[in-house]
Amino acid sequence: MSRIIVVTSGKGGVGKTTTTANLGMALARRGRKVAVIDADFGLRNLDLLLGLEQRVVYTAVDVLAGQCRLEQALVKDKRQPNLVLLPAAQNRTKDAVRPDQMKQLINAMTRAFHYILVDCPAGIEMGFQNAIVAAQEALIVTTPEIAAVRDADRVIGLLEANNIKRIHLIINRIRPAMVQANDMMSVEDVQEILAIPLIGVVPDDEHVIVSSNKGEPLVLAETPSLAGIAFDNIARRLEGESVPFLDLTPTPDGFFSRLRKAFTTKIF
Amino acid sequence: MLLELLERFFPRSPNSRQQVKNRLRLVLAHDRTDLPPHVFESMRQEILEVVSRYVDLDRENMEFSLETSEGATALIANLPIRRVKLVDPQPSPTAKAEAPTAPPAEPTAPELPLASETADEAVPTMPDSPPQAPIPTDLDASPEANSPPIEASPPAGTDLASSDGTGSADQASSPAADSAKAD
Repeated sequence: MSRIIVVTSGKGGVGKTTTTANLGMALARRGRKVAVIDADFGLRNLDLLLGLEQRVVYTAVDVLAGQCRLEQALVKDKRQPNLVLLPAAQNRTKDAVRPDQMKQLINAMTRAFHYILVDCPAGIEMGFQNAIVAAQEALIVTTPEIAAVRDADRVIGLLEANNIKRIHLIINRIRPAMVQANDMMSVEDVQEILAIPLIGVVPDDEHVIVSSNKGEPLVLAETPSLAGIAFDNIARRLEGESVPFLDLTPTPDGFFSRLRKAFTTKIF
Repeated sequence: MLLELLERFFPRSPNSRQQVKNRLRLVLAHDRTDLPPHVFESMRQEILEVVSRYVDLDRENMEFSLETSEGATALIANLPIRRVKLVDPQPSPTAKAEAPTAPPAEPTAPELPLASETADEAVPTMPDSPPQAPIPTDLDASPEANSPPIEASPPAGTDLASSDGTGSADQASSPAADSAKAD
């Protein structure tokens, strides 16, 4: 039996797809069989973030229409055989699929995978309803900004109303220097407001952009970035491991610290 | 939550992080309680009316908001009092306004235990001179007095009235009792 986890946020652009792609890959690297499902019909992006866009042949809609078998639609990742992607249709809209159909599709997959991660589209309409229908757990992704937190709060309410009780929080794109300067909410601020357990904090990292440019999830990079390590830690916590949160306090940039750096950095 | 309240009155140098937290608490409290703004406004007006019957409020400096903290939502009101009004439960000969004897049109705030009446007529607005009404007392009050009883006399329609029939039925003028009399 799989763990069916929906990755949602309410607000768009906070990092749901990035999280789904990286978490999926991180879990697969730990030996778990993982299926990631793109529930964003019409505006699919999970294939792009995984670098699998050229390999999409059939989509979830084709499977539901009976035009192909489920196995034919699942895209296997050549870099990591434990990971498969079920792509969304690009030429349809969120109303192309009904929640009961989504549930049918996901239930057909539970026997073969340890984890099924569903990448939820932004919003709270049909796409959201489709994405949460089979989920037992949810990961709420938010950034420390007012609009994202407000939407996350609404989504938490909707999830609880839909009987999804295991909800965890991922705070994405945090900028520790801004937090210190009191220009951004801290992790504790957001946690106190949303009042759900925290499972991960991911710093704002330029490597995220580079990784999506390349279609290569952060966790696969040779030199791990902070964001990559953070996603890997979330995967470990999902597995039950107790992992301390990364120390993201910014390095001091005062005169003396720079002087010290000047003396200690190797030039030759 | 007390700490945040104190911070609101004695703010440290304002920074955007504190601002955004305050704004979010307010906004989420409203979102979560799902009170439409006009309903919230009516509630606010009514509460202020009730309080104004007893004390004079400083309307310029008052605060009245829904706030949320750590998963709990609360209605927080900070109503600076200018002075206390003398509450006159019985009409005096000099009082211009009189409490109505007819039952109120409809209960505007069913939860409030006091019998409802319009705030304008409830307490005569006293000028700064000492009150002319006699000291309110129940000692020589007759059961048929015009004044509404201080004890809970629930307005028509609540179950309390029917179960409390014996108590409120004695006060003949009580509007709730009239409708609550079972037979």
